[in-house]
Amino acid sequence: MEIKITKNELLGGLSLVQGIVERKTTMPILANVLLEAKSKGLTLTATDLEVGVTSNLAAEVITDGRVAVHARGLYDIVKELPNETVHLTVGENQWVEISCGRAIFKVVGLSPEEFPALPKKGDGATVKLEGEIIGEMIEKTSFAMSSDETRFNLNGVYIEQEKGSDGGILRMVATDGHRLSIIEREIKGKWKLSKGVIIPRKGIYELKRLVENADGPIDVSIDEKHVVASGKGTTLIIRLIDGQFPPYKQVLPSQVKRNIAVDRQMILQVLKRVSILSVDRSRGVKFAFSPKNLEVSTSNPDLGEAREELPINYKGEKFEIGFNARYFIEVLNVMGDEQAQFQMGDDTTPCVLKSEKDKGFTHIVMPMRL
Amino acid sequence: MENPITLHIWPRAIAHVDADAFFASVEQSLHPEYRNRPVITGAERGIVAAASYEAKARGVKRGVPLSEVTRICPDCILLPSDYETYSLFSKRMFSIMRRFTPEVEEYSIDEAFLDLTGTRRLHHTSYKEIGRMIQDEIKKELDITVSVGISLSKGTAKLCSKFRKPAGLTAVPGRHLHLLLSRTELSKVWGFGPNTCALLKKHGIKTALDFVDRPVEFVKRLLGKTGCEIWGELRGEYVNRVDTIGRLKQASISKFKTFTPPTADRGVVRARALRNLEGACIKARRYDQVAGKLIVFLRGQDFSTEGLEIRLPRPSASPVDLTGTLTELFDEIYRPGKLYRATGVVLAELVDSMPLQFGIFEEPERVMKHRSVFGAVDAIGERFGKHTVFLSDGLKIPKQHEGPRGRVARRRAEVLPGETSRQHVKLPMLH
Repeated sequence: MEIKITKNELLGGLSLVQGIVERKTTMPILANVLLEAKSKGLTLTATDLEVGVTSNLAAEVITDGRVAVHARGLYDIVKELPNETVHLTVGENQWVEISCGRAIFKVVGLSPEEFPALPKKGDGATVKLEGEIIGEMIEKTSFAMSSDETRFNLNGVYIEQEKGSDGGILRMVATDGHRLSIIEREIKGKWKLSKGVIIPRKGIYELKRLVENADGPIDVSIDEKHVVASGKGTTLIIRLIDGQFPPYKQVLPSQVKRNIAVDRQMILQVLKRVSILSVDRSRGVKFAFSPKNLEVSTSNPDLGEAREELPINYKGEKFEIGFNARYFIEVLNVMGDEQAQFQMGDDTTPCVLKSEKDKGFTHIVMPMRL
Repeated sequence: MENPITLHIWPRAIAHVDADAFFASVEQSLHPEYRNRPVITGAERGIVAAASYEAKARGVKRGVPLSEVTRICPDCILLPSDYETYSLFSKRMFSIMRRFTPEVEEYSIDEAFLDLTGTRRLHHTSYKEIGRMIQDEIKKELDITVSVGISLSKGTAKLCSKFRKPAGLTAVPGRHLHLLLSRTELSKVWGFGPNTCALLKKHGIKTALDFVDRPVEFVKRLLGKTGCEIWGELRGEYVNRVDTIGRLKQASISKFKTFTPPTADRGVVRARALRNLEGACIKARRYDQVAGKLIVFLRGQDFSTEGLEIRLPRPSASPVDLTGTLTELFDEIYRPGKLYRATGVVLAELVDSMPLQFGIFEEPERVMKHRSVFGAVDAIGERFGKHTVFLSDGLKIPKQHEGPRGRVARRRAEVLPGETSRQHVKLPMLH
């Protein structure tokens, strides 16, 4: 194998696969990236057996061939190369020679046969989705995913489709058992997702990177076991989580006792300040509502206490409730509104956050007993 | 002779007071006719819990089955354990120590650490003499002997109290520390198990002195932070404080109980495991803590032990919450037909019970109701004894100490006028 490729093209491709390459793996081959040179150009492949990526790069191919190289090592070399054409040749025993300008590197490669094959694309129908919309949906849900490995069915984002006039409604849901984020968007085109699927955490992050880089529509197809997404020469194959997503619709409170509009930036600042003194693990803060006033406070026997008031349009009776401040900060951060809508019941029922601008967005936070 | 580790004589004076063959000594104290005779306790368990020095001299060791004891020492006096009386003696022993210094750490039922620093002026005598006074008062009032070790840190004080036993008194000031350490085998050092000893021996370390002569970087690399702490303690640095408050919080709570006779009945073994769970939960609630992890053990009659652990979806100290999880783990390890002799439950990753984050897929009302139910269970337990209210599976547990081997301590079998089986006057029972 012998190719010529510009440094920036190669570096871009390698940086894309870094997130997927497994660092502490029991299978050493997974720390490698597979380079395949064919007439059309260079293809990079990396996988951790859960998420796989292939990326097509423009290159001048002198002879075809394949080799597996340590991904991090190759990336570190290419990053420091001068901004010129990189000449890459594979010699005997998988020795890889990289030369650029006057610099020459010789690194050990592995046989391409050892590299696991990525699963073939299934029979799911492909649909074009706006990258921007998918990116926004991920941003507004992914922060609520669980990182508790014992609750594997919550370690990802649930995606389902609801029938509608055109393509119907695409919905993403994520929860860690304490809060839950739902976002809905209308989609166009004929697409049918027979049942909801769960995309794992790592896959979600890679999908987000894909839509950011693709800068336009992406092709998505989902079958029983995998979701395949591609855009701008890069294809992601993500193995779905084999589990049941909890019945999230039951969680939505049927009636609202209190509907309170709060200035989003203002409460965000208040929460950031007050939570400095809340206990690390739980970040518990107390919300005390009284007519026209919200007092946010915390007290920590080891550190001290903090209190701040802000004016709000609340009219009802006095009412207190405790929450994890971090949960509110994270959701308020992704909302674009000036005013956030808090819908509350009493101190043991969840608080529902609604957005004026984005009618498709709903977030639920469970209270805590302080 | 080698160089001393420190030239300071008494930068700190820490005493370790360790009762000699405590349970057996208490029995001998209450029954003068047992004096100078081999006594062992633990008859109700079928193995030796404690052996008097007379019994130890005849070769009886802790944990040996009773059949073995009657073989090697036929005239041995076998007694069932009377924990109620032992704990009364223990409390009195600690209160005697508090006359000498307020800083007493009750380390276990029969040993304590005392910070004696600065008390020489108060008692007009040396630290060693203070140690002797503590021994004398305990002997005079409780008629049991204790061994006392006095040195610069908890680790070295513990070495001293073990140095001469029973009724030993060893005080080692800083400038003589190296002499003590040169005569201390690694395996005698507090915190070194067989694995650590084997590792250190590979590096040519045989005694505690060899160990402290190595640079701290070497110790850090080999044994990490705990190793460095032991290293400092042995050099007479006051690393581990005498903890007078007692632990306000627990890191984990373990309840492991052997029962007689052994059984293969799934219902009974499970009920025993649940009883341990209840016991562990009671203790967790006493510390206002909830567990993030549950571990279950089963030990067969052949002493093979199997265990499993699981992280809980929500930290809890309610047996009702945990029964389902426990049963799942139990059924993974329980083998039908196998004879079991003990069950154990560990609550680990304990955290404060408040604040309590409600889960989105649970009913907060139910969680709060559970908490108040067990608040009431604890209040009843406080008044009428632990396990007065228990899970109904507990009905399957046969009365303890029934059967051919069953023997009960006299304090339990007989009651004083006005006492019930659960409520006792806090006095030991004499003849």
